[in-house]
Amino acid sequence: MILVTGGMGFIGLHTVRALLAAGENVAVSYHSSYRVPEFWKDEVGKRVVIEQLDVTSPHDVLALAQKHKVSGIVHLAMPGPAGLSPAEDYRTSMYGLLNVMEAARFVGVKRLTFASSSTLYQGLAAGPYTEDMPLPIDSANQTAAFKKACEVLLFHYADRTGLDVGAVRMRAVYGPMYYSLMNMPSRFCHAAVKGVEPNYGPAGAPYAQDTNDFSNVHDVAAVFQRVATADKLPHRTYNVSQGYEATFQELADAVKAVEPSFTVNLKPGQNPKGNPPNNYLSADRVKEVLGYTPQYGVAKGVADYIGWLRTHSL
Amino acid sequence: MILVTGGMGFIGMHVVKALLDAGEPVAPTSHRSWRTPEIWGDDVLGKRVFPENLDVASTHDAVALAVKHKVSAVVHLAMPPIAGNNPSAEYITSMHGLINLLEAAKTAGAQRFVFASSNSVYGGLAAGPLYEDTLLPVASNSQINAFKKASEVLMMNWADRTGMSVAAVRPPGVFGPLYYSLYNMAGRFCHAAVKGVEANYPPSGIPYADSNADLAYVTDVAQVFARATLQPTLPHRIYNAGAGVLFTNGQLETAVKRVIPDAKVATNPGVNPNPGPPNFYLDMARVKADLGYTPQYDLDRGVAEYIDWLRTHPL
Repeated sequence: MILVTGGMGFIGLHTVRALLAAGENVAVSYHSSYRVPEFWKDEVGKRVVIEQLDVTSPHDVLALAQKHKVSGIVHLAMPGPAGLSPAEDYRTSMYGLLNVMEAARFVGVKRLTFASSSTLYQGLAAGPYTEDMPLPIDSANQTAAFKKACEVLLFHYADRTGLDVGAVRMRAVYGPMYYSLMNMPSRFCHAAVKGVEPNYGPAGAPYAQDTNDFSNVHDVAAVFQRVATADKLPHRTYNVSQGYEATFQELADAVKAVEPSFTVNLKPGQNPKGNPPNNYLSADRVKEVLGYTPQYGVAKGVADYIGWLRTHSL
Repeated sequence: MILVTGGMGFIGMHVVKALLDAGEPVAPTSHRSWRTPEIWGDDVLGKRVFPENLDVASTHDAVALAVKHKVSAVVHLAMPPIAGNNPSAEYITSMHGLINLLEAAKTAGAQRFVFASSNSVYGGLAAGPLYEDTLLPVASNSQINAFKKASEVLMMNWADRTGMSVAAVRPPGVFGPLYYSLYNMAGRFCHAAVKGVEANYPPSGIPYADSNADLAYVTDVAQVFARATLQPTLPHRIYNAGAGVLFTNGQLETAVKRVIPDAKVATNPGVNPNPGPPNFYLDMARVKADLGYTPQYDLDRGVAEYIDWLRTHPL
């Protein structure tokens, strides 16, 4: 049985599915939002158990890990991106990590897998971003700060205790069940299915020739499953990436190919502030070590997502 | 009033003195070891120095103390002992302690928060010189590296979100009066010389004459802390606090024997066959430019003053 904290979040739901598909039983923990997706609802009470958990409670985390005799933990739970104070964010992120690490050690799990983020690479002068790059102390946002500090402390804890750990760094993840709609692929796909122009968010429409490394959630879940269940991990950190940078024009064209009526008004050219060159995460390590090549380029990923959105309520 | 956590530790006691010298009243906190050294001056307790007992892991106690003294700045030096606790206890003291003191400073209306970091954060780099903005590896080669690095990352983001003015000070190995833990070679050599006994060498044995390190005298380190605390505006948030040069063990041996010629301290010729990274000293240009301070102690002066102090104080 593998415990997935934050298992009812967007990425958690898919990670649970990937673990089930690989033959694992899963204990899904959630804190505030409860969602049972159609793609594993029939397993609830059979191969899936659902538990409410506040990761800031050391006793509850330990009790849950012991109750289910978990053999692995995938730790995705994190505070919401807005709304809490800096102190409360700190409490959830940093106490949560310690409690999960200690529970993992006490019950003797084979591996603790931590959900990290590509935001760690922000501030670097150029990509492609590889897992062993040194990083700045300053952080562009709170996700970058907490994930960076957590990785530092997770790896040190592993050095001290012998706990086997892995961290997965992902970027701009989109796909079915994504509701917070922070990133552009999800804003574009939702708008296309609704027949409206996208809500571009506070920064406005993106520049056509700016780039990002968009990750489909199916690929992300596949990497989590492999990091969590591999017999041996020669490294502790793994990027999830297409391994190339796609322009927003490519993204818009991919949406139009599926939904020709899609209306989008990209700004021409590139942001004068500019992106770092080669603004993408290297996918080499995941390919070489875990034998996984991303299956969803932008065109396939967008088609899959829009297909799903058309048959589900928005 | 300035709150100095760990103010009865080695560096803390000198930071308190530097702040007192600058005219500030100070509330030093202690967890286990209670020391009110003579360097703070006569008749200062309850007048200019207000010692307090504090477990930094206690949120409410930290806030209550900062509010009680209406502190204008916090210097956070408290850290878990280098050995003896378990990783969880160290995590709680280091990480819970940091957020508790940051929040306490904000609640009390403090204008500045200064965090005692370490040159250990540079561990894992292939070469120096070590600049404050050097990118750092996520992996850590010691617990001090891990906890100080994670603390700096979290403090900077907390400051971005709250607007608090913060600084991290990164000292290297430090020696001088009141140094009792004797991890570094300067402390071991000077103590042995004054006692007239053979140096207690570290587990790695007699050091190599040509191996080197950036080694700072505690008075210089305390000056960087005091200036980072009291200067109204800071152009940067990270400051090295080293000597800014490399001293060899051979130079240390020579410096000690210049004061005590028959000192029983020794080095082996050559460099360690597993040498450390080259040029691993702290660049001090930023401290000079921003804080107007240049380290005042070379090895000869530091060793001479330290030995002089040791001769008149119980070992």
